[in-house]
Amino acid sequence: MIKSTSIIIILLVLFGFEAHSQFANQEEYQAWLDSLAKENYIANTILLEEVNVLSRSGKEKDFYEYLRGNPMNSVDDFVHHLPGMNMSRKGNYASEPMMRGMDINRLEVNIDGMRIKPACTDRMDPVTSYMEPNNMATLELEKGSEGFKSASSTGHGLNFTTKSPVFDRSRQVKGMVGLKYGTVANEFSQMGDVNWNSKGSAVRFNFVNRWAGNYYGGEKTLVENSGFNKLNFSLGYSQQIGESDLIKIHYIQDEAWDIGYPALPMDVSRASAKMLSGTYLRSFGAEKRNSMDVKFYYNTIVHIMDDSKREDVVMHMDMPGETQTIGTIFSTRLVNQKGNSINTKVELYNSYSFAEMTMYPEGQSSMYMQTWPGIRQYGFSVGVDGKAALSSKTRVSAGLRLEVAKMYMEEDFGISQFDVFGKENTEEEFTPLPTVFLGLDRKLGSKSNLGIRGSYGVRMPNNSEKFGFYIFNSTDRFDYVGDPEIQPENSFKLDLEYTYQSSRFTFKVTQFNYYFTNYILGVSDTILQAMTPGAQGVKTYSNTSNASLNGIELFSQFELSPKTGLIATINYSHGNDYEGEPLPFIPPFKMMASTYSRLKLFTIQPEVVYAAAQNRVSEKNIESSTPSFWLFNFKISKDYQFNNKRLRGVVGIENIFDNLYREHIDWGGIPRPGRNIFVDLSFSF
Amino acid sequence: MQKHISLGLIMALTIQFLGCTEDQKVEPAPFQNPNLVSKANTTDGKYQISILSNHSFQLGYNLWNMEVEVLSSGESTEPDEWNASPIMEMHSSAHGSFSEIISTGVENQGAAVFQMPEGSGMSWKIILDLKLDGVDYSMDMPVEVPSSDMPNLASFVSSKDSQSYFLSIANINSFSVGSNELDILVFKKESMMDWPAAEDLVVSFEPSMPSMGHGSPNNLDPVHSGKGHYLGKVNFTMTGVWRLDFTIYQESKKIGECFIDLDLQ
Repeated sequence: MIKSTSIIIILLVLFGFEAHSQFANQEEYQAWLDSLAKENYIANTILLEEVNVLSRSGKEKDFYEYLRGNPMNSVDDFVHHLPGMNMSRKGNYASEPMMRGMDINRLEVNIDGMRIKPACTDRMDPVTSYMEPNNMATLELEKGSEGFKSASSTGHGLNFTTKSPVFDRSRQVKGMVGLKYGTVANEFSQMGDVNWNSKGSAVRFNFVNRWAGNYYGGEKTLVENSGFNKLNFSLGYSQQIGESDLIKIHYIQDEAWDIGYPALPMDVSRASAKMLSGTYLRSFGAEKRNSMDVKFYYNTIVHIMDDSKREDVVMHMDMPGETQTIGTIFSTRLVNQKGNSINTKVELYNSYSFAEMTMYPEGQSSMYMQTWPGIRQYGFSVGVDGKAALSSKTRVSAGLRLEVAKMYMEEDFGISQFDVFGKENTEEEFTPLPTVFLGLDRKLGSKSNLGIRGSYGVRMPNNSEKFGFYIFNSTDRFDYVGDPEIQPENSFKLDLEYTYQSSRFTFKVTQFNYYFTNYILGVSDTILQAMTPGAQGVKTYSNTSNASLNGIELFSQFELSPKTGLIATINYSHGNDYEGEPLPFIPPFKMMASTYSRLKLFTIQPEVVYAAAQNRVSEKNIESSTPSFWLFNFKISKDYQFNNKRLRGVVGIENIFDNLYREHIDWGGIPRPGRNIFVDLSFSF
Repeated sequence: MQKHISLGLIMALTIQFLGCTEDQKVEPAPFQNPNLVSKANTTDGKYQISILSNHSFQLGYNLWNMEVEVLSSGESTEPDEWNASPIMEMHSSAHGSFSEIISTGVENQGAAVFQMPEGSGMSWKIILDLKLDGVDYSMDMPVEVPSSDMPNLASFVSSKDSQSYFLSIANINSFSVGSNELDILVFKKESMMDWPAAEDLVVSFEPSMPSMGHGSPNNLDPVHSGKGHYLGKVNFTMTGVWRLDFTIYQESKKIGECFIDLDLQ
């Protein structure tokens, strides 16, 4: 069924778990409920179908278990392993997820369904930078406008669900601690989590602390201004009420400081996120298959960008930003005996984003402007989707979602700024953002499945596209100005998917096609003068007539023996703008192959990555082509199990041959890390 | 946040200022927080004359209000007629400057341009000639005009006839980030006491930030609207020091250039 949904679920459950969907009796159901409660009550109930398939087939679970390797990896480390995903880097911190060549403008990243607005005008803080794997339970990637969990988007959605406190009658206290060291950036990580539960109450606390110095690219190339410090912790409390009700309160705080961004002219002295949510969840109906939940949440991000630690700066400047988001989500899920399901979701949200820039010329008064002039956005959405079997061979999935949203400037100062362009505020306008999708899956024989999925989506322009004011982009060295009158962007998507699965071989190929209208792109405006020293011009965000993105994703897995497997993925995207020229930041053909062998003493995991050169570059974005590269990685691990406890040691070497390389989607042409030897120890109790 | 709020307030006040302006060529700003600039009693002890302004006087164009108080009753009164002329007294000589009367009656508003700062042995006064209740008075009103790093004043010598021209921004105190009306006054020196408005010029200008090397878009060159005032539009994209570079043409020939710097808050 996971094949039929095109939603990829990754289980990050450290201790593994079992889930069953057919219950012979109440006792079995209770056992199932307990097992669910072991790691993540909400995520697992909602994702029951997918989880079930995943645990049954075992193969993809192996794959993701393998990829995950160890929770000590950062979010960036594993997200980039997902089919279709790439991580664009600006340094050694806060990589930006990209999907099939689409950047975060077309990727809605949520945590537990909560909307979060990054606070940096220069895209230094994608939502993923405020997460840590050791408080994540699952990651859902919605390709295209499918699904209804995320906000309106023309690309895709990425939703992280966080780990909840575990109810486990057999163990009142459990947890884990871990340490990791990597040579390339002198990076240390330490982490821990502990779970306590008793009589229907459970508490979970976890933390991660990382710090790193400047890293070396291949061939011992020092990348200056690339160190960082980070502390992430969360506290969760769950209370069962009766047999079918649960209340959860969850707080996450992420603090990072002195973060270097070598691809940009500025660094970040502080990035801070605080997220608080309260959820009420109820299961009901026959065998308690149905569920509903209500969530209230608030989050705030403060992001302080400055260049006080850079030398040779023409003029010092500060660019702080902050956002606040508050919202509520009401969702229900109904599942019948046959596994047909229908989901509904109603959402209200309200967010505020503010960013400013102050420059300090020598011997003169400071210069001040508002780069995000107090942008208020609020909206309301209703969504319904479902899946049903039309026959034993055919399944259909469909969804419909309507959001209405309003976005405007609240700061009079900012409104005056736009007077300069003769543009007015948009306080009066409500924008409808409809999303619809339809998918069909048909079995061809016992091992093959053919899927066809289409969708239409609309997205709201983001803060910078609508109200950004002279925001410098270091990739093309242009200042970008928003357009308050910009229209929403539309996309039509068609995915064709073929899957073959036998006992020892899995093969899945997806061909995807996106066609955008009103595609939002920065278009060079020769009348305007650049404001940032060194910038070569100004681009205004504009609705270009169209853009297209096509490509292919291939995933295959061979089980060579019960203890040895081979996994290979291939990704390719091809994008054209409204003039038929290449879109910027399109990753080239890329291939990854890994094997894993469970030997007597160790598990070994060699991996090879190849990326072709990207010579289809966007001249409008002053892109230069990127050479191809090969990468070789190797990892060896060993587990010791005793008394329900586990000690795991991992030693690995990444970029074995110390190749000097960069990926096409990286900013500023900075090299990726060179040879890295890491040691990773964790103890679970 | 404090900063945003105070900036917002400033903006709101500025908008109010602009909103209250009357339909006149020169916009008299309402005197909300009048500053006493100068005060004197008539020699017969009947009246007290005050000059008030929103700002202390600076080099360049200054708007001011005149108030007349009947000392015996403490009530204000209106002059039958009046005139004003700014005079700079130097060691052994004196010279005048440009001056205009903007409104008379209930509100008596005038403007004067000071082309140089006071100094040792050099000081400015405004000579007010009033007719009050049928009696003529001539009042010497001393005013202070300190020197300034960024004078709201520029001058050039015409390449056509070698006359000295002066240029000042009449509404400089209402500028804020965003789109602003631009009101420039241009006058010339005919003699030490004769400073008439220059009404036959074409003015173009370009704003820029000297420390950044960029300008702003969508500005409108000022066009003569009467009595030496040229109205246009100037856009500021951020606070800080801006320079307005002017190029002046007469009969399609460039006769000079000059600039005015201002510190936009």
